[in-house]
Amino acid sequence: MNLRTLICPYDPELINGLSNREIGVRVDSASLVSRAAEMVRNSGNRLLCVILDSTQPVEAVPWEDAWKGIPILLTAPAAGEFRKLVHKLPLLKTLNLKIYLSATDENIRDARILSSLGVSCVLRIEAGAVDWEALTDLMTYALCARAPHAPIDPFDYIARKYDAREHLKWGGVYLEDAEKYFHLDKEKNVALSAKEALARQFIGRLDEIEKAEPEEIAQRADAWSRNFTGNSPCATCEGFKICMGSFRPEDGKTEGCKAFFSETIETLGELYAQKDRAGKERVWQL
Amino acid sequence: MATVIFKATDACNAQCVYCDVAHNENAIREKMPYEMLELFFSRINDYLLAKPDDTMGITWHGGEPLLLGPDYFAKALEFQQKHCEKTAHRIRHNIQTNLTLFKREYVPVFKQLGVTNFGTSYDPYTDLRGIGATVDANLYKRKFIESARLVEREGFSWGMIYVVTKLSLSRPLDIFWFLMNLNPLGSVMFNPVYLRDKKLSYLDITPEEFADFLGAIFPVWWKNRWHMPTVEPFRMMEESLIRGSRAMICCDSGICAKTHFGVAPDGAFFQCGRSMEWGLLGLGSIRERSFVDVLEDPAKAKMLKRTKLLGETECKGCRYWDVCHGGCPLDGWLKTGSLMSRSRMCAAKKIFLEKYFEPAVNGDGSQKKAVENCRVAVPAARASRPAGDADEKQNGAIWINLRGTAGDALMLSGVLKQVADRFPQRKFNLVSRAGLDPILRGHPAIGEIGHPPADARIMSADYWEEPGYGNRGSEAGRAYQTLARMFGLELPVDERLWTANHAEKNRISFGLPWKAKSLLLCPAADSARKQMSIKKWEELVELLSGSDTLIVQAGKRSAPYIRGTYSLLGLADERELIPLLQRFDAVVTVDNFAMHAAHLCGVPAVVLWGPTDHRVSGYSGQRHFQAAPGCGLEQGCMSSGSRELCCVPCPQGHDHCLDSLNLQEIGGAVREILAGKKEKPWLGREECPAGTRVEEISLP
Repeated sequence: MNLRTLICPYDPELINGLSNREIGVRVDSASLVSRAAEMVRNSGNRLLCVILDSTQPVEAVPWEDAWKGIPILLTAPAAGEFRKLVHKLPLLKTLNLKIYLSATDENIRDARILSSLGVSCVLRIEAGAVDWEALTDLMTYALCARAPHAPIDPFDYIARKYDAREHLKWGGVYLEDAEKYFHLDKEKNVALSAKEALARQFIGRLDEIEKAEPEEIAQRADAWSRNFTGNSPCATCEGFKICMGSFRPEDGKTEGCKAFFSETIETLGELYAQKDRAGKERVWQL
Repeated sequence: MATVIFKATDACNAQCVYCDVAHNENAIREKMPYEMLELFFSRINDYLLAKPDDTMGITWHGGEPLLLGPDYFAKALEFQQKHCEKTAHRIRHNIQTNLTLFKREYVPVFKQLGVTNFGTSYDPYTDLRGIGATVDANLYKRKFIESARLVEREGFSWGMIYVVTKLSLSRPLDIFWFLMNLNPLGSVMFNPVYLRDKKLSYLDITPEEFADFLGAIFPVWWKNRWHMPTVEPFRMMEESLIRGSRAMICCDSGICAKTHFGVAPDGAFFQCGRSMEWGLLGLGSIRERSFVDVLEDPAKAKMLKRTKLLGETECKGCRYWDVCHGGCPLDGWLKTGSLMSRSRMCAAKKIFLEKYFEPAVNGDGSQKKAVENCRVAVPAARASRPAGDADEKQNGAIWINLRGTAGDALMLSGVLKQVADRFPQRKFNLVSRAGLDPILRGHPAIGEIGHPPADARIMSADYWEEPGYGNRGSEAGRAYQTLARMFGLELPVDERLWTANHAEKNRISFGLPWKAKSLLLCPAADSARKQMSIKKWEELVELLSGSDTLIVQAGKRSAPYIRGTYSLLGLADERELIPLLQRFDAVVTVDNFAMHAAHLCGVPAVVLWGPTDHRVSGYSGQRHFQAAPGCGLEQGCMSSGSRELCCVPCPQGHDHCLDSLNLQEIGGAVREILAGKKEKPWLGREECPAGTRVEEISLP
């Protein structure tokens, strides 16, 4: 069994009880960021990142110089007021930082601004009321815009990992991939996503799971294949390879997500073709 | 390659509506007895001994072959090991299964048999395929999907046949996308339904309907073909009509009688699997006849005459003759009662090509792009032709543009030698490139080496950009096989290397302080990503050093020196390296020219792999050590989709995958080779006085 990266709450007893693991440590206060990073690094484990769950917008987070050198994953409800945020940009750009925002209309707009200011961000896309058209625009900006800008995930991740002949799972962008991440509570109970950990939907204890992997993990990893046994419209979608049926809205209206993922694949195809052409041109200039 | 359709049982757990075996009262539901199975492998061995240049493909068919159980396959493996000791490497096992019975217990035996791929059938939208007497389609679909996942997890690949019936005609694109999404790495073949039972006529389709079904899908596939699985018959038509390939499936080859035959559970021989199901063209029994006998049977010779006959009569003047040859004789028989008539589906092919293929390929400028992208730029919709025909004379030979490394040049040289052996008239020109030309100079398939004129027809030899390249589950995805396919050779081919232009004599080894054992290290590669760190090499040298072992390093002058070795850096170019390498008992190398050269010379090699994969580029018979990429790029950073990274150093630093290889294991493998080395006539090298003539070893 491959050793998963563990996403843990900030709990010295828990983390000191682990050794030689890669750990993402979750804190709910900016004041704990440095302490949490130091604690993981001194515990004989490797630090993936400190996850700061902020209830405040990005501009209101009390950013510190001391965070330089700490990989930080900030989840925030919004970017906030840019006239305030702009003063913090010089510091933000020196940090090893990714800002996670849910894909609301406002955040889709703000992600583009953050990216153009050189701050890397991640949009949390979930099935439901997403403005797919706005998201398509942002994807085009993220992948094709020539103006310098910071990566916007998941688009950047998809573009880097896309292989036209394979399915692409990109839940890992959100630390949600049953084959790569376990989310722990203080008692070492394991959930397969942050949301499930919060709702205490655990699949077992870490030591037991690592002794004998429950079938549930393989089932979760293969959940996409259920699209092929029912009458899921996703099975015939042109964008399936990079969506894998994960974003089908409950109302069954798939036009939006279908257009978005199909367009993404088309854009990637064009990008790859451009790259190929560029390579060939170089050869003939010898 | 000879192919035997091997039905060890006709029993099946499914009862698909249109299946001839499931509803055949004469089908043999019992398993072929072990003593006959043993005879089967003994016959294979006899055949391969009698035909030393041939290979034997065994297609396990049925019924459902997985009903035989893992033990039956284990027994087959045992008989193969017992009877085919010297020929087993020329046997290829394929399995045609509905997959629903696949389980982990099959994995070890299939891997030992060399199975890498499963052929299956699937139909997402009808209930025609189902399990048991009730034809439970839902159960079939569920089990199929579960098994497909398991098959992938266990490292096999799989492809599908989709049988087009009347019920399929309303949603061709849904079916197409479904199959593409389900298995983006696999392959799909669309076949028309063949029905003998009149009660099933509601499923039958006309040639026009089949052509229109294909035509609805083709433009989508054509537009996206570079990033889609192989879809037949499209890919084959593209290969034949645009690239001039002559490799075809049995139905269209016109020579199926020469290559295929079937064996039934009771040991009866037939022309093929379908003729077995229909009780036609029996050719005696395995108890009485050898495979050579069967393939040379007068009835088969008569079948071969069908091709000639059709070419002169019914099919005379057809533009598409070379991609069809009149189609499957059994299908012709179904329509007219005569095996000498053409298939009714010939019409489907013709309609499809004229109505859909040619407009899509020729229209909207995509043909221009197609020609740019295609390896051989031959006008579309021109039937493939024998090599070296008038067209080549008129338009001049095709220029091969070889990018890549000297190793690629050596591989290309090997492929071209096989082309030259088969088609001695065929000549190519080579776009001149410093460093690569010497390997191919004097090659019988190469006319001119130089700079192509403006209107030259240019063929790229970039095999890494070919669809299907790098597919680790399939032999066809291997580098050599891909290159061979690009030159129209029928796969699989033996991966033989060849060069006419190695240095005649080894001029630099006489000064070496030879010892009882000699080891050549070639640590450098064209890409830094393919190299192990010097520190690790030095540790390896320390491990292997001994008073009886000479360790020599070869490479370019600029390559870093490994302490503890005798340096020949800068002294041997690729041409010199070949005769030099033959003097050594073993080579330790990475994925570079020396790896190919060792294969050429038959010198045992230990090869270290990281970002590239030995299953794709390595040779059998070499000892491969594959580092797992720790960088998150599971396919390795230099797989088919990311080859451009070869010029950029690995950002992982000390965590570079190749540096994670276990030196003790590598050292152990080298020691094993050195310990088992055979005495060679030139072993007394240290006593060899300067100027003494040492017998050269001739290259394969």
